[in-house]
Amino acid sequence: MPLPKQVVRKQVVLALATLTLLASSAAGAEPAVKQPVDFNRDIRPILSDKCFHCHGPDESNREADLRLDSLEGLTADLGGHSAVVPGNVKASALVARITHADPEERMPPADSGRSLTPQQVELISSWVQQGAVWKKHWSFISPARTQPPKVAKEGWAVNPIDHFVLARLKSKGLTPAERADKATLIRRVTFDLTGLPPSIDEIKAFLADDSADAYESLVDRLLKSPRYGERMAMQWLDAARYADTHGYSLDRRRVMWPWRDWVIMAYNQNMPFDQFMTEQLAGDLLPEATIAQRVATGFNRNHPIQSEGGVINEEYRVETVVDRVETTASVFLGLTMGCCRCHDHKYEPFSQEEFYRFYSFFNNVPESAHVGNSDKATDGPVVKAPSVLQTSQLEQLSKQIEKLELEIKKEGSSAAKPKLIERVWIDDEIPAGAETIGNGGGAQKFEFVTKDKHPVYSGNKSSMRTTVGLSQHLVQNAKPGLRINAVGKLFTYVYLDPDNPPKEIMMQWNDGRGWEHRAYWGENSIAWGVNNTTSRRFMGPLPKLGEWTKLEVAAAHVGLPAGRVITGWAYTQFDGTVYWDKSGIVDSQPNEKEQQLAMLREQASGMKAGMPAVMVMAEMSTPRKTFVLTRGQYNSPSDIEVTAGIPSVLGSLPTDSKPNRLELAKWLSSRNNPLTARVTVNRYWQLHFGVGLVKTLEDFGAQGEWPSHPGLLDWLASEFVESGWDVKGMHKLIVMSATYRQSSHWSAGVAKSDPENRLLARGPRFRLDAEMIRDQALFASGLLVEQLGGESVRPYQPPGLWGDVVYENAPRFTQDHGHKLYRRSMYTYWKRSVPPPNFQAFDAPTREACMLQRSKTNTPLAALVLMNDPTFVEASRKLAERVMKQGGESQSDRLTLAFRLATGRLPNETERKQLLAAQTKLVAAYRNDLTAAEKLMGVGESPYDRSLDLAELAAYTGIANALFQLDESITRN
Amino acid sequence: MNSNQHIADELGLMTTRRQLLGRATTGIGSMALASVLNENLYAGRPDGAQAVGGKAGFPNFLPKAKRVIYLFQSGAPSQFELLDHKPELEARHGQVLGPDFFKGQRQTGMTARQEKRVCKSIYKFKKHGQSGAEISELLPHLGKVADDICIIRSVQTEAINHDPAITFFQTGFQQAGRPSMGAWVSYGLGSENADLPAYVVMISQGSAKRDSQALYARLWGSGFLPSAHQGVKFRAIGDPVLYLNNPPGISSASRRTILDLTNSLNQAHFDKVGDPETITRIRQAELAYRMQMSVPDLVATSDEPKHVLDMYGDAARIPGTFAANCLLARRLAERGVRFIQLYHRGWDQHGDVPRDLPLQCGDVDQPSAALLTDLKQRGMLDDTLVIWGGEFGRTVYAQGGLNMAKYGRDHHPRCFSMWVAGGGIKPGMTYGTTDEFGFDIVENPVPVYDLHATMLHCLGIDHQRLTHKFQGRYYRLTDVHGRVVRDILR
Repeated sequence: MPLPKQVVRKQVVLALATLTLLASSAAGAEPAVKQPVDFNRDIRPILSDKCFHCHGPDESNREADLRLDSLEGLTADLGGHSAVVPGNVKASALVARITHADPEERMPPADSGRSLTPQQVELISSWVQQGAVWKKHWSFISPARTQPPKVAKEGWAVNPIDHFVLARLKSKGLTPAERADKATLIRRVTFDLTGLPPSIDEIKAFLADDSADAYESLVDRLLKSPRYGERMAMQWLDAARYADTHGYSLDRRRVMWPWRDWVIMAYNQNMPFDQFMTEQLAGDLLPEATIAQRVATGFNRNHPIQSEGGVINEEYRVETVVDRVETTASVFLGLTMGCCRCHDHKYEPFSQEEFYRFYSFFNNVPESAHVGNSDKATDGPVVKAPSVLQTSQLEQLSKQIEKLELEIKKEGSSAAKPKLIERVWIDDEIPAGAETIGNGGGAQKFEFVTKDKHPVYSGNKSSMRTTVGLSQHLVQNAKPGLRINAVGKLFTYVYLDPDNPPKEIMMQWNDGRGWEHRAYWGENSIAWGVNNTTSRRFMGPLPKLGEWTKLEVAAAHVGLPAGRVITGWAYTQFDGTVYWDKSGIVDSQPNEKEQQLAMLREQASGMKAGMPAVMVMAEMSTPRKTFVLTRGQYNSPSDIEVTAGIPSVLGSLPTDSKPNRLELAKWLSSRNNPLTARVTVNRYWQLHFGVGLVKTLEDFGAQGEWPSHPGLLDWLASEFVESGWDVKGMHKLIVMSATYRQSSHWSAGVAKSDPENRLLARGPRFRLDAEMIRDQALFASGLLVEQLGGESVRPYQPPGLWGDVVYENAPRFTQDHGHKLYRRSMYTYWKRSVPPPNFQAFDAPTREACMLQRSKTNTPLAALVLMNDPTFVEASRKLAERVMKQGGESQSDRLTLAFRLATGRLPNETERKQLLAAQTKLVAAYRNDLTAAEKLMGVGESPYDRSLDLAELAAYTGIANALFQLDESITRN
Repeated sequence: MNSNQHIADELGLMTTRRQLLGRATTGIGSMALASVLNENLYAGRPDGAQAVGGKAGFPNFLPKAKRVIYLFQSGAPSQFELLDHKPELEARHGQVLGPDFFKGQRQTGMTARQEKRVCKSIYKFKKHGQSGAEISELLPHLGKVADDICIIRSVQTEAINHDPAITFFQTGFQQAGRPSMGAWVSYGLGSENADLPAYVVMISQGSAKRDSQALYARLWGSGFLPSAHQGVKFRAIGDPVLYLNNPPGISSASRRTILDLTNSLNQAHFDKVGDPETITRIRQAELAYRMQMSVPDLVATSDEPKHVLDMYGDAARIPGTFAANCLLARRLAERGVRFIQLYHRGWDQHGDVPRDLPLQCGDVDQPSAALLTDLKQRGMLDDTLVIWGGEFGRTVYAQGGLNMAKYGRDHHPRCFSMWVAGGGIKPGMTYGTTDEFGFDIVENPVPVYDLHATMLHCLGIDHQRLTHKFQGRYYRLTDVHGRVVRDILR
């Protein structure tokens, strides 16, 4: 159809403007004249963003009775004229109003902040001119099984993905980048599929493998690794707002980690996605539901729960249900349902009533939305569940324990020929990190007195207390605490005032689990614990008055076996005046194997003891009625009662079944649902390319972004369903593509026109997630302790972070020790009010709400983490140790290994020289200051190898610290 | 010439590259980088000021305030004892309030079922300054600066419990997930100091620490805004900024050696790969290095003259106290930090007002007043907006019995008092009136949204224009509400 002359000329000018603009933005819409206007690609986003707010689906907010979100609305007779007359620009009121010369008359109103750009005006005019073809929103139409386009460069393509990508590149006059080198590729795909870098041996093997299927075997190996499940779960935990605390107010501990373990297990077993979804949404409603299927429903119990005293339950119960609606809709449908809680949706064809129909699916849980104040408190239905990951692990552990026991027996234990050492814990100072408390309140009541006025046994101070009746002072929450080794004997010195003697004295110890370890002398007047058990041991009569006496208690006698860590020590008395001094332990120094054994035993017993209660979904026997809430307010139910259902624009549930969560899951899994497969493959795509084919992962609605490759998205979605929702299969398909395997180097031409790489003319390059950055450091340094699942752990964090903010009587952070310091980051205890600070610096969310995409910022605070966080400093010194032991004799070889461990590739000559120069400089500095070197070796709790040259070790530590900070190291290239 | 020269050129990194390349063989000295770092970071602003980052077009108009110091009193101080004098309660003391009195007001689970008896304040009020502002005897220092502040007696909120109420104040929404106001301001206006974060948070523990309500990372979080806008905590325990200090055994000289190595390897990597993110990485590492020096300088208040320290009180010499934080707030303000937020905990007096309220006031009265005086003396009060207040008010009736030695009050959202000063606010006025029971607002209500809108207005921001698109919707701090309270503007 020829365009009127005037329009054509205007379009040329505009097209030029458009080109300039587009050149600096991503691969967005085409300029208007070049090709036919596509309603969904070109017009709907404009109408939605600029017009729907007042002329959209929300009836209550609709201006001038004009509705632009439907064909009927657009073409309706508005009293002799219509907004749109297809093919007739002049007769279309819409065009007249958006081009009106008078700013007062022009739409959208100037003060709305929604003005149209000239290109947008032009696009709308062209669309009307071309016949105003209207289509249902693209993502509400089921994906068609498209045929991959034919392309010239068939040889480059590995699978159909590449056909789609190539066709788009070709239309832009671009060509794909060369293939990434093998070292880059193995690191890229290993991170993407397992969240960890490849080992040096794996890199070497891959580089040496010249066979045609070398890459495919690599991918297959990675998909079989148990690390795969951990890596995929990482993404899912953000989506499912998983955390280890309740979130609100006291923000106390909760036990949802068995749910997290279920997720890992499901990924590792390659559970089909439809089943994965169904079990999480409605596992409890499946016939003869297993415990694991019920645990899976924890997905919708991961939301925060209130615990504040004055809370009105119903208010927060409503919030909880809304949270489920929002999370479920975002994760499985890519829709923002939350908007229609208070009113009809402004952009999508969902009414407020339809929101409450969806809400009704999740409104039937026997819960109170208020949780108690203990660390064991749960709310609503729970199941007692062993971790699905632990059965086989326990067997493995037992075998390891047996083996070690045998070895120790053979070699002789440290207890058999003990080398006893006295370690003082409390003398003139209290232990590191400990807090003091005493009766009478306040820290000052742990009273130190000095020897000028009072009896003192050792140093300059002793602690003193005078009382009538029962009284005590104590230290607690010490970090790192006092670890008990074999043949441990606890001791303290005591002095009883002859003028005011006590009736009884008692010592109590806290091992991080409680104070149930007591020993007493004198009368049995203090009724704590159970007499003649480890919680109250009689040790003898009161010591002689008026002189210092050493009291000794075998640790095992009060239930403190080797391996326990004492975090608190209490001095208790009944009546009298008592002085206490130097306290600590005499025990053996265990050998390495014994330490390891202790660690394994603790793990095994922890596993056996832990059958925690996990919060799950369940249905009330008498269903709760659902009413539309006026303005979304919990206390303003309207009289409109609704039953469960899905928004009508998406279809409907079968009428012959009872609409419940299981029916919802079935519909989500069905081919009638246009969204779930698209939304899911899009998320997988984002995982491998940094950006989704639809950039707005959480929004496939009118306000979401038009896909960069619509055909590809639909092809992948239908492929996914055809494959039986094969998750590993989909990941394999994506990483096998030639598109994925391109070099990620920026090429000059594309850098500016497509900085986000939406056209995929190069391979993906983006910063690693927080967890992977830490895991890589642990892995490269050899510190990483790999163990699937289990209770969350508390590695290093700066002191006092919880104390700054938590409620007065809520627990403070207690750091773990030993292997728990080195677990994969996804097992780090996630306290919502104080998320792990080193992860936050790398954009980890608080997990208070569903999050599908983390930002990737680049800040000085993140740089500081890599420089100074003990986690990274300790990893640096262990990496240093490793290269000194395994890197050969020459400095150059050792630096090469260090570089390779951090980046996965060999340094070139220039890089090697720079490394050498820095190393030489650092060695010289540390030779001059061995004290500094020694101090550096004290960062972190792992010991260092004293047989190595200290100055060199410190210098390599500095080098490793530099390497862990490299852009290349924290990026998957 | 390196193959990536043109990428750098195209992306405006030319200067960077030349300067870096010139030194690539010898390692990059800190001086060279320091100059690199500041180039191209400053954008032209309507107010002519220089800022780093920020949204195009912001501020929207000439701002009165360049920065905010928000003194949040967590736990909710009682208006009856501090800023809203109700002499009528003397006569009504002990009177039982029937259910009709409450006009359907929601009550917390703590007192919903108890008998509600009117409770007077045991503290006296006095008129201060030319404005004659009525201020409690518990706040004598504030009385001295009465002519500098605007007391608002008619703030109202929607939440009746601490967590939702403080989350509402901080993010404009009662549930978790939205950006905090400081993050919004950082997002809109950026920072005036490339070496310091735009949004700094400091926390102090109240002397009445028995019932300290919790705080949450979300209160200074960035929600769905880029996480670079989240508040950075300055702390008195450990490093003043998390992970700031080098670990034991790494001297400043070694750190420089290490950083030079990182930078030169990063530079080489950029030469090969061409991703501008790598250049940003170098810049941020250098900024981190500079912070290692500038932050300790900043927090070392020992260089303050004695008379200044004395003005804030003895506690100003103890790191981590509210007084010390007020002094730090002034130093941060001087250095161009955009949004400085202090939280002082311990104001939740459900009981023991006579014991605890004087303690809390003792913590904050002198330093708050000193902060105003100090800013004024430096000519900074005019462009610094200072805000003081808690998350809601307290009830006119006593919680539990009417024992005047131990009385307390429950949460009251319907009206409560705050004060604001400086940066565009009319000084020496009292705004808003509550009824004789201090139960309801008679005149000029100021919902939290309006307070937000007014705060943004002072900063030159139209609260309706500071939006961010997330999940298909344009969000703003004031949601669909908010009205600038023009009556209190200069």
